[in-house]
Amino acid sequence: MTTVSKERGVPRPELNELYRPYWEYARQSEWRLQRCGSCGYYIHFPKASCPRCSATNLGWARMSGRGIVGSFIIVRYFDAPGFDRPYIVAQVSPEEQDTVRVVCNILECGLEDVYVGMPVQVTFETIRDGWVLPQFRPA
Amino acid sequence: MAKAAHKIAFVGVGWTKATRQPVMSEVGYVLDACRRAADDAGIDTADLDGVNIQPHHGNWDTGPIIKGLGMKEVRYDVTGGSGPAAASRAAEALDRGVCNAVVVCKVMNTHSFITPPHEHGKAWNQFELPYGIYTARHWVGLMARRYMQGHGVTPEQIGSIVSVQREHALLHPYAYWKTPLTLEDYLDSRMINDPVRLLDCDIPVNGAWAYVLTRDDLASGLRHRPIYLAAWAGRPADEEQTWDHMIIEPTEGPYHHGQVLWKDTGLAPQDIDVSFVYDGFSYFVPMWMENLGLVGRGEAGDFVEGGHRIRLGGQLPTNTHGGNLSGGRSHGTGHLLEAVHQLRWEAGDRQVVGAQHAVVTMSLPYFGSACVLSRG
Repeated sequence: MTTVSKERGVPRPELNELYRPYWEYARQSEWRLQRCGSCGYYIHFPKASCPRCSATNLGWARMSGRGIVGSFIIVRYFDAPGFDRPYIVAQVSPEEQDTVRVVCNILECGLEDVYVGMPVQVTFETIRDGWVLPQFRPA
Repeated sequence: MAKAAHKIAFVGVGWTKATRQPVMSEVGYVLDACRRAADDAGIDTADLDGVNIQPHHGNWDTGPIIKGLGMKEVRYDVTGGSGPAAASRAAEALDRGVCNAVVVCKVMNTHSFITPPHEHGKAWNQFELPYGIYTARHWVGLMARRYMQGHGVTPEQIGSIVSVQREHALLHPYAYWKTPLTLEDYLDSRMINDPVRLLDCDIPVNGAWAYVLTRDDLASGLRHRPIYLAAWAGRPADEEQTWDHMIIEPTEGPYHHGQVLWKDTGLAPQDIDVSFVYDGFSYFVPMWMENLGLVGRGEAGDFVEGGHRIRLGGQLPTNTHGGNLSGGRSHGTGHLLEAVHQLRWEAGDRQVVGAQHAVVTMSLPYFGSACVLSRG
C-alpha cells in the first residue's frame, strides 16, 4: 500500500550495489534488510561486511514489517525543505532484532499519540519519480 | 597502550573572546590566540617548531600562521583533530623527539558548518534525509529521548546542567554568554525538535583557543608550572560511526575511554577534581559522566539534579568556563585551557580549591576522545 505525499526537496539517493536493493525492494512494497549469511545478523545501513562477524556473504531478508518505536523527535522549527512542520521522525527497530534502527516518519498518527515502545507496521510512501520510502504506521 | 618515554606538559594557554560576529579574520584569530599562548608560556613564537591548527572541520592552511608567528624551523605541521585527540597527536610527536614545542590552536567561526540538506545525497544520509532529518540537532534528539527514557533523566535535570554552566560562564573573562539563565528560562526556551530545546545546543561563536605543549625535559623554567597530559584515549575501532546507531549498552562501569584512562593513570574516577566533559549538546554531559565512570551507570540524572554537585563548590565542578553551551563552541579546546588554569590554581573566583586532576572529553560519548590532565 502506498500513499502519495508532497514533493520533498531531497536529492536522489546514490544508488550503488550496496544500497540499490533496499530501494528496489521498497518499490515492490517489500521491506527487506541486509542479513549476514554466516551469523544471521540483520544489518542497516547496508554494509560491505557483517559488523558482527565480518563475513561478506550478505543477502536480503524479507522482514515481517512489525516493529517498535525506539525513539522519535518532533521537528517544530527549521524543518527540511518540502516538509510541513511539525512532523515526527522516529527510529523503529524490527521485531526480528532490536539493534537495527531504521529512521522513518510515523504516518496516520497524531503528534501526541506516538510513544517509545509503540508497535508499528511497515507501509510504503511514494514521494516522487517513483521513489518509494519504507514508512511505519501504528500497528 | 605503550607507555610514553616522556611526560608531555601544557606550558602556555591563550584565549580570544568568543563573539557572535567576527571581529577579525580567521588567520587573525589564530595568530592572536597562538601569540597569547606563547606569551603565557614565556616562549618566543619564533622558537615554536610544531603547529596543529584545527578549523571546525577538515584541513587548513598553516602557511600564514607559520609566517605570522615567525617560526624559524618547522618540524611538525599538521591540521585536524580536536580536543584531547589533537593534544595526544602532538604529544606523540614530542615524545618521539620530532619537535620540541608545539602550538595547537582550534579556530571556529559562525558560518562554516551549516550544511544544507541538498548536499547530503550520499552514503547513509540517503536513509535519513527523505524523512526530514539532516543535522546534529536531529540526531541528538533521537539519542536524547532514548537515553532520557532509558535512564529516567528529566528535562529538569538536563536544565540544571545548562543553568549551572551559564553561572560559570558569567565568571569567565572569555565566555560568550553574559546573561543569567535559570532552570525556568531553560524549560521555557524554544523546543526546536522535541525533546531538544534551543538551549540544549551549544552556541556557535567566532574565536580561537591555543595551547603550547612541550616535553618534561624542556618544561621547567618557563612562566608557569607545567600541567601534564597524564593519559589519553581515542575512539574505539569497532563501533558504527553514526550518531543514531551508537548502541547505548547497559554496561556496568566505565565504557572504553574511562577504562583506558583509569588503567593508564592508576587513578580512580573519584580522584578527578574538576570535569570538562564535552557539552556540544547538554545530554552529552550526563552520558560522558556515566561512560567515564565519574558516576555509576544510570546515576547521572540524580547526580546533576538541582545542579549543586556540578556547580563550583560542589562535589564535581563541571565546565567551569561555561563549556560549549555557554562559553562558546570550542570543540573541547576551551575545556583543555580551563583545565590548565584550574590545575595551575590561577582560576580566580572560578578556582576549584586544591585541584590536582581534571578530565577532558571531546565529541560523542561513545567515539570521541578523552584525556586526564594532572598537576603532577
